[in-house]
Amino acid sequence: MPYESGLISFAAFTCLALSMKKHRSGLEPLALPSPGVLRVLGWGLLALSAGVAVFRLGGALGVTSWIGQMCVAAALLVLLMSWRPRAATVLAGVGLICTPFLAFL
Amino acid sequence: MNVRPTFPAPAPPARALRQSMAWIHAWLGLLAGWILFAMFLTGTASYFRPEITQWMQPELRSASVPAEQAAQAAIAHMQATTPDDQQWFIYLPDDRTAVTRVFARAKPNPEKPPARRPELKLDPATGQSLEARDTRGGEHFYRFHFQLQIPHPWGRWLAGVCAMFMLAAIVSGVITHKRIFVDFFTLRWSKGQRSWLDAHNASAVLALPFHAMITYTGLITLVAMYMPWPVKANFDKPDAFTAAAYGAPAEAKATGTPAPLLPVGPMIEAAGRAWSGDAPRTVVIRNPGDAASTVTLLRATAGRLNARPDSITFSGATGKELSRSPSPGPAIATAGVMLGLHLGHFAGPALRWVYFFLGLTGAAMVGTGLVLWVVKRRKPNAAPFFGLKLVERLNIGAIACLPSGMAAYLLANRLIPADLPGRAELEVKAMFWTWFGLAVVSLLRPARRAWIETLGLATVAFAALPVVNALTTDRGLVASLRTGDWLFAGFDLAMLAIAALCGLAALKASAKPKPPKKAARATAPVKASPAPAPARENVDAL
Amino acid sequence: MNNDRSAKQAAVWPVVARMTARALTALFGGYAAAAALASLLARLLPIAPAEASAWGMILSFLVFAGLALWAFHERRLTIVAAAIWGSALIAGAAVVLMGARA
Repeated sequence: MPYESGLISFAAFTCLALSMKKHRSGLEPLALPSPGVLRVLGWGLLALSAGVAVFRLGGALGVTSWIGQMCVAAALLVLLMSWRPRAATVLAGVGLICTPFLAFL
Repeated sequence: MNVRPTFPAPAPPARALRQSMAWIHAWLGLLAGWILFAMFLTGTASYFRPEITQWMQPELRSASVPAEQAAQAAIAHMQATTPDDQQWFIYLPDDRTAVTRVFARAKPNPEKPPARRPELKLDPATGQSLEARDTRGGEHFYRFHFQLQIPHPWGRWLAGVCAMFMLAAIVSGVITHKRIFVDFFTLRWSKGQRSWLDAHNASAVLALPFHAMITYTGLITLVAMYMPWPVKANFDKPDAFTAAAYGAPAEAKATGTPAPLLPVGPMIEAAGRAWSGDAPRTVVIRNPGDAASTVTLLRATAGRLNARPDSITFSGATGKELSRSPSPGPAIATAGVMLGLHLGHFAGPALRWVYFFLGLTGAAMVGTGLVLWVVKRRKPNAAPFFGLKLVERLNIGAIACLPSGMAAYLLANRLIPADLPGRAELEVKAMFWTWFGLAVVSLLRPARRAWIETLGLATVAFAALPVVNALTTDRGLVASLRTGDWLFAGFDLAMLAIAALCGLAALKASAKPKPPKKAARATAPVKASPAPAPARENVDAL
Repeated sequence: MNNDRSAKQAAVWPVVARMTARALTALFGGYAAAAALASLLARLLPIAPAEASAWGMILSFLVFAGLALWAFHERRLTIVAAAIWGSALIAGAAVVLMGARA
């Protein structure tokens, strides 16, 4: 299933959210990197998700699919963060780890 | 000192712009919101138009047949039944459609214009006529989302005006939103107006590229009707524009000399060579059986953004290639890609679900905006003014009653006897009677109860669909899971998911409203004690 | 008291009339201006006529949305009406006078 770019952008948005002060509270057991690191990581992952989509589907379809999946990832992340912020963070990590395996499905 | 009340000093331009845009945003959303919600919801369902049609004709089972075989089988059927037609439009099956569909047009008869013939459904493998229950299938939601069940052309114009309102609402909304990036990930539940604003912002901002795209491309799909003037500025006849943009149609007159139609297999092969292996989606045969017959193949658009298909026309009598669609210029290609982005035919299953989810965020954006309008203007401890009550009632009718109507359409498909004459119209009536009937009946209940009960009813209706399907067909959820029938299994599971979503909404609506702000701040942060609900029910009762 | 109310009502009607005029200008005037400007663009762009027409059609809705929103931002109704109806008339007249290219 070509959902890698969605999973990567989910992780990317999680990093960007956690780099903001208002979204860092309530996650105590997790040791978070500093906001600056997270911001760079977030933008980097977002670029990576674009690259993966274009590599997988070619220019036109890749960009379309990337934007679509990015929007869905952001919407799902915000829904999940509003309800279970810690689970959202953990899920972003798990999703990122699963991504390379998903690419072979 | 001057103490007379004066007009406020001229505001700085940025702030003034934001204020005027906020004002117009509220009015645009309010006036078009109810129709836009219905357009978003039925349009979103239309991403699964062929799948809905398949589910609504459970008698038919898909079988994958090569394009050549399906085309030749259909032609053989047409030659055996109505060989003297002027034109056959043959829509070949693909991995989403189970049948070959044929529209045939008889030769024009000056004395008695021939009646419009219904669409034929043929078995892709054998070309035999298929018998299945009469239904409009997924086509109904698709047509409704831009024709609104209003006579032509008014439905399309109304849909266009609403789309234009949506476009202006998107632009003004972006200008109004003060903290797009600061509040990018913010969604706070159970905080009254604050929560509705958060939900409206989140559903709008997070899927903004989709909303802007779908609105603008929606206008482009009917641009020839909405905005024909730039064509008239350059061309005296609209046909001349069509010919210049998409190539001249092969409208050869019949010669009257009979000549057999050659097999289409070699033509499909030749087209495949020109189209890097792609199969045709549609075969158009003009003047079959005549020496001047033509066979036009339209390329399948799956996997390509531009929805304007390439085409190649062959002579039906000699098999020679006659013409080919020109490669489009940048503007025509842009319009074709916009059309493709709106229709989403290019999307495979994975991207189709992405589209579906984004469509739902669009409905959520419109719905939360409409509710926000009411919540923002409702004064605690004051009787709501007439406009507020009207808007709230229309909100209930549009947002909470439409899902039940859509479920009723699908339920009617299973409950109306398969051979009843006129059943397709009855299915459509079931949707509108349920939708509007429910909206009227809900007036009898206090507003809050009406929200809860209509959403609860939608939950029951959608949850009933897999049950009724299992009882009335042999393709229930268990059977389709066992046989690996993913279309039917997926449909039933999707209905259960939608039921869960409606149920969740009903539960949220029935949650006791939070006490006013000060009390909430004083009590524990989460799960505030169930304070006595303000006497809203009495106030809301009509 | 009574006087006051009737004075208030007297003040309301001009406001309603002006808002109606503004809304009609935004909706119908905006459409007319967008159509006329898009047609003028299509007629004047020095590229193939079909291409020019397509660009005009594609861009027209953006022009419409911009004009309609501006109609509610600018406070002076006369300016709004003059600009929107005026550009519709001038651009429309220019297109009609030039005639079709093909």
